[in-house]
Formats: sequence, C-alpha cells, structure tokens
Amino acid sequence: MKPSEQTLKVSIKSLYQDIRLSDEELADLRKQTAHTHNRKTYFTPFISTAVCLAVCLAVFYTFWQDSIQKRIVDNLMADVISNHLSHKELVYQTASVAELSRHFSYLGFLLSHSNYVDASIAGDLLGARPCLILNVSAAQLRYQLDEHHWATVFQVRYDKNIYGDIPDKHADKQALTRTQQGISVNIWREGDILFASAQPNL
Amino acid sequence: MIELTNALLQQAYRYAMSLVDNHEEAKDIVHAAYTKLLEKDDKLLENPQGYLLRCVRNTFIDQKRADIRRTTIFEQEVGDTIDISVHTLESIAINQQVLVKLWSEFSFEERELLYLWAVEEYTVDEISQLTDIPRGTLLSRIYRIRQKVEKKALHQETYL
Repeated sequence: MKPSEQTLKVSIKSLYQDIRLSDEELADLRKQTAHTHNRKTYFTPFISTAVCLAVCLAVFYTFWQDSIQKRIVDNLMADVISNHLSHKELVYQTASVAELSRHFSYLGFLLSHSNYVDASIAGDLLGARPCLILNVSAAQLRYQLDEHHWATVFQVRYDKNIYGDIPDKHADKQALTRTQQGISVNIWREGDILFASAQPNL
Repeated sequence: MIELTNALLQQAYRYAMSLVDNHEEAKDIVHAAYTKLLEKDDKLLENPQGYLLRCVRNTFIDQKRADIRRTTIFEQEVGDTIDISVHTLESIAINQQVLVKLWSEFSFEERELLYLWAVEEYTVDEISQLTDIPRGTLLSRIYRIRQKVEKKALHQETYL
C-alpha cells in the first residue's frame, strides 16, 4: 500500500465523515416534519367528515331525484289513464292527421303518426280532442280497436322541467310502460314531442 | 409519537446521500421518510431504525422509478464458483482523491452497497435484508465494483 493510499473501507468512511446535516438543518427538518404531521392529523378528521357528508348528500340527492321522477311518472300515468277512460266527446272527427294538425296548431308542433306506436293501435283514427297532461295543453287522438275498445295516443310538447327524464326513442331508448286499472300505458318522447299511448290490456 | 435521535436522522441522511449524491434531494427524502415514520403507531414498530432506513430507500425508489427503469443494468448473478465476498473489497487500497472521482461514476446501487458495507458495516446478509436484493445479486455487484476500482486504481496517476 502506498503512503497516499488507504483501504477502500477507510477511504469511504473518510468520504462520509463530513457528510452530515448541520444543527440548523436538523432543527429545520424536525420542525417541517412535525408541521406536516400535525397538518395531516389536524385536517384528517375534518377531511373524513367532509367526505362522509359529501357521500351522504350525493346518495340522498340521488334518492331524492329518483323519488321526484317516480312521482312525475306516476302523475303522468294517472293523467293519461284518466283522460283515456273518461272517453269524452271528440271535438274534431276526422281520420286525417294533417287536418287535425291544423286544428291543434296552437300547440306549437305538428301532430304526427308515431312510428313507435304499437301496431295494434294503427287502426281507425276517429278524431281528436284537446286535453291537459300535467296541466299542459295536449292533443288526444282516439283510435277504434273494435266495437267495444278504443286506444288513445296523446301528443304534447316535451318539457324536461315538467315531465322529468322521459326516454327518447330517437336515442333508441325503451318507453316507460305500466299497466294500471286494466289499461296498458306507454310513454316516450321523439325529440321534443312527448307521446303517450293507452289501450286496454286485453 | 416516535422520537428519533439526531444520530439516527444523520444516519438516514447519509444513507440518502449514498443513493442520490445530492444534498437537497437527500434532505427531501429524509423529510418524506421521517413523516411516514410518524404516521406509524410506535407501539407496532419494533425497529424504528430499520424502518426509517427502509423508508428512505423506498422514498428514493418511488421518486426515481422512471429513471431507475431507464438506467438499470440487467445483473446476472455470479455463480458460487467465483470467489466473491466483501473481503475482496477490504483488500483494495485506494487514494482518497481517486475515490472521490470514482464515487461519482458509481451507480446508486454500487454507492448504496459500498456505503452500507463501509460506513454502516453491514454484512452482505444484512444488506440483502434491508434492500430486499438477493445475496447473489449483491455479490455480483461487489465483483463489478472491485473490477471498477482496480481498473481506476491502476490508472490513478492520470487523475493526480
């Protein structure tokens, strides 16, 4: 071994003997670490509580929205069935949808045959009369199915604020269906026109 | 709450320095490791010293993961037929200035191994336990370190 040389171990130890944090740096490190730790432990219960609260609110909001939507659909179904069963006298008697459309121009849209109405309803169009669906002016078209049975197709301008989320057939969604009081009801929309059909559940 | 002595913090700092060879980065690593340690329940921590050093290493690995993937050389374990042990390093003599030059050329794995062996005086098995690196891999590293050091030591006059 030359005079200027040492063993590798001793040389490495020498290399590291001056590698240290100063007293100031040590104190700083302790202070910073304590501050980080205290901040975490101080805020943790608040953060946990806030997260729990947010989750509860989100769940509650979802249930609340679902509950509102259900109530809207219930009321909608009730209006459709009530109007169908009341079987009031037709105001306009014609088999022409185009002619009916002129009478109902005040609704702000053209009446139409829906492509999605059950084929069994595409029977004899007898005519139409005005009605209300959730207090909104609508048209009620009546179809004769047989001697004793008829079907009704309602058309009204769709407003999400009034009718909530109604499936859009243009987006390939399934209609809402329900059978109540022996009447089979389908509700859907085609763009901004809401349709409802009612016919006896034979 | 766990209290660490200054000696332990200095040890953590030196270990971090062996890994990053940079004062500021080493301080950051020690801060992160110390903070992790404080989050542990001291009743469950049997060996705060060992845990702290492992935290230092893991923090370094996490921070440098991308760089490590790029630069890690595939290490083939050397068989038992070649005589390798830390004793082979102990017989090496070196000039301090040459070591300083050479130190910056070592990979972090080599610096770490040399630091733990020389400064902390760990055995190969203890180093293997701390770093989760197989004993064979460590012996391969010792072999390569020895070759590197001997090669540089032979040419040491060009550095002086």
